[in-house]
Amino acid sequence: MGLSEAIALSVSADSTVVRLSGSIDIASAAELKAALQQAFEGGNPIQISIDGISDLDVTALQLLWAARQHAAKLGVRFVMSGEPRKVMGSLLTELGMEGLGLID
Amino acid sequence: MSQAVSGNSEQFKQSFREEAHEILTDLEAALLELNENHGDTEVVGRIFRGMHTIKGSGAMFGFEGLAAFTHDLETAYDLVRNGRLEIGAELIDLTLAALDQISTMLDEGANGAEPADPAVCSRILASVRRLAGVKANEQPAMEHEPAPEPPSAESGTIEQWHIRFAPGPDLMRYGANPLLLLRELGQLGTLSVKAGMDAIPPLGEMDPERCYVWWEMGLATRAGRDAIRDVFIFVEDACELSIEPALEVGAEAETALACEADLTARALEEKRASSPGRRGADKPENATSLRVPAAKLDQFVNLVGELVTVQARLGEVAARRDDEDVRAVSEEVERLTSALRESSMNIRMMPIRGTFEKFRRLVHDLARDLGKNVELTIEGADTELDKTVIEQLGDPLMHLIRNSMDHGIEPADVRASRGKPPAANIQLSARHSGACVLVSVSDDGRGIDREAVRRRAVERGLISADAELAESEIYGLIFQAGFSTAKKVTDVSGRGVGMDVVRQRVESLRGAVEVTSQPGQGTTVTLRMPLTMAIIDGLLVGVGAACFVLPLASTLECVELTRDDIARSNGKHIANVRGQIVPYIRLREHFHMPSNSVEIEQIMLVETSEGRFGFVVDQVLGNCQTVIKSLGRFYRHVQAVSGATILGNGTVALILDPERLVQDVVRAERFSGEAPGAALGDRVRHRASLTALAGNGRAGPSASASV
Repeated sequence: MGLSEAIALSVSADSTVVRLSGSIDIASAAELKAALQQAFEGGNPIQISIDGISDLDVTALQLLWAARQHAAKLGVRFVMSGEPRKVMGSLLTELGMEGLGLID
Repeated sequence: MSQAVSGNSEQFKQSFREEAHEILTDLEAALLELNENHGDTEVVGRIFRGMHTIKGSGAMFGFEGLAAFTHDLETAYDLVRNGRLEIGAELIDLTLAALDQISTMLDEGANGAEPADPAVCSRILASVRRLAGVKANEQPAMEHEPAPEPPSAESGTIEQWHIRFAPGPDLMRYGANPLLLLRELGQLGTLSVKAGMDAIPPLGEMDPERCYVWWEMGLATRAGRDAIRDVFIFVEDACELSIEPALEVGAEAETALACEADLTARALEEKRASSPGRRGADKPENATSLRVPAAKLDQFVNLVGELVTVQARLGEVAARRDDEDVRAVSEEVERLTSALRESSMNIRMMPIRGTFEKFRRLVHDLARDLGKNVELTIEGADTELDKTVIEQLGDPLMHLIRNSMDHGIEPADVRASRGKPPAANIQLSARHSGACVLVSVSDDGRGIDREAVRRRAVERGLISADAELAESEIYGLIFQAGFSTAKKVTDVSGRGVGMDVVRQRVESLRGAVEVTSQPGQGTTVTLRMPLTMAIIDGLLVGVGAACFVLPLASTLECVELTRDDIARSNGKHIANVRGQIVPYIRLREHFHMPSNSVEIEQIMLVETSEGRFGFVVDQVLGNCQTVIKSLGRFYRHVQAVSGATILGNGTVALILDPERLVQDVVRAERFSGEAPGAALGDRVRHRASLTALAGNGRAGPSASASV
């Protein structure tokens, strides 16, 4: 599946970066899932870059949460780069998802 | 973060549109009530709550423009209900205009509807703000006075609620956003939220568009259970929701409640208190009504129609076979089909209230435009009719009301000179009459000038100068195309278009129009509408090899017609039924069918607006449930036939429209100069001569059977 500009995947020798920007919601949920699954294929540490995000909905958050659980199960390092607390903190509080390990 | 609702939301948006249109209808009625009584605080509360709901729900479903537009109106009515802004005709008219814009905004983008005009919206908002601002500035002393609290809020204590909200699998696909629901819930009081992530499957198994997260929440609020449930009103069918009282909270939590939250809670609580019927029970599983798309209902009724046709075939087959078991099954199927047909027809029945209430606005606006003082009274609004009939009645009723307002109701000075009350009255009423519903528009205006109608009809060549017309026939002329006695054409009426459209529309629905009028006292136009459109009880009759169906509701009885009877009436198409002279139409002749008539024919007597008439047929075959099928565009001008139906043996029978058939014949003879068989021309003359005929002992047929 081709990815839109909002979701970009870059794979290097030692890491895989999923770069998210703009609005990541149900309209792009299928793409996000595909990108995350693809990110696991190399077995490298995964970095989710979220600084460019303007909007994030529950479908996106639950995909990120499932990806984090999957990474933990596989023993793959999974980090959110940038300032996740600044970008997502209030959203997670409003949704009652703070403290659930979605961000570090 | 944007509050926009994500894609795939059309189903929920449509649900919101429907709900919002209902609220707009309520609001319009409330505004018109307020116009009658400016001091009615209960009505002001209703208006505020309606606007609040439209604003809040609109924002949730992506109608941000609509929500923003409604916000200022809501603010104005908050000022009104707090006694800081006086209600007046200008604010009411502005609000009515605003409701029109909100309605347009709701439909924007749906079915190619035109967008709302931003300039008009801006003008309305500017005027509303000016009104609110001017009034507020004029009463500076009130600025710092506390707003009067509604009674329900004064006694309200803060309670703690435990809420569990688990979205259904498709909630987000429909465009609902749980975040916005939680935010709205937060406006009711102090909210604590905990998300449940345990239902989220492994990444590879996830349906990316499905919402797996669920929430447990604690809410401290003055709002009651219903107000809390209202937050979920548009997603209730697509989620699991439980709202249970938890522990009482103390003063600490109480002080934590924000004023804005309190206001919202009160508004929602009041809304719930004032609309108990909207959702009668606390839990969705106790819901007593269900919203179903009209298309599904139509499909269901069509299928029932097909079943009725197949059942008729089964009945035919069972009758041919000498098999007791088959006959028993056939009779059982017939019984069940009949019950199913009744039930499906009942589902389509709706009260006419909604259609009637819409006209309050029309009367209000027209009264203002025409400078007349007119009150609308409504009777029988709970009378039920087939939804198709109701949908089609709007235009004819609108034309009739416009006509009454423009031509029927006199100007105030004329009314005063005639000793009439200054406020004119237009009455809309509905009532059952057998298998029909009578919908009437009455006014207490000047009445119809019969001589003027007659003169105009002669001028237009519709009748000859010496034509003798009964009163009902003269009134019937006003429904001719292009007929108008109005001395001037106005924006409202007078072009002679409306009344013609009324007749056409009503007759296309198998209805009829009747007019009564008293000069100087008023006019009543009555629309006689069938209860249902899809399936009717019919009487099957045969002429030669052809079968016809007459609507059972309009048939009276059946009498025999022998060759001797025909000879006694000297070739005139008249019969003497127990001393009453009844003209008849020979269907064989009327439809130019081969002439090999039977020895004893049957006359089916029917009641029409022209009086009692007979249709001569070869034989009466019996009752039948008739599924009405359209004849299609090619035959749309054949008005004496209202449709066709498929009989049990697979043949097609035409469904006759007795009213139109009789009118066609009477009209044709009126203008032919010489009546065919001199049977149906001037009925007054005929009746006189025929009564004499009957008096001479040369009676026609006598009643022999009743249906």
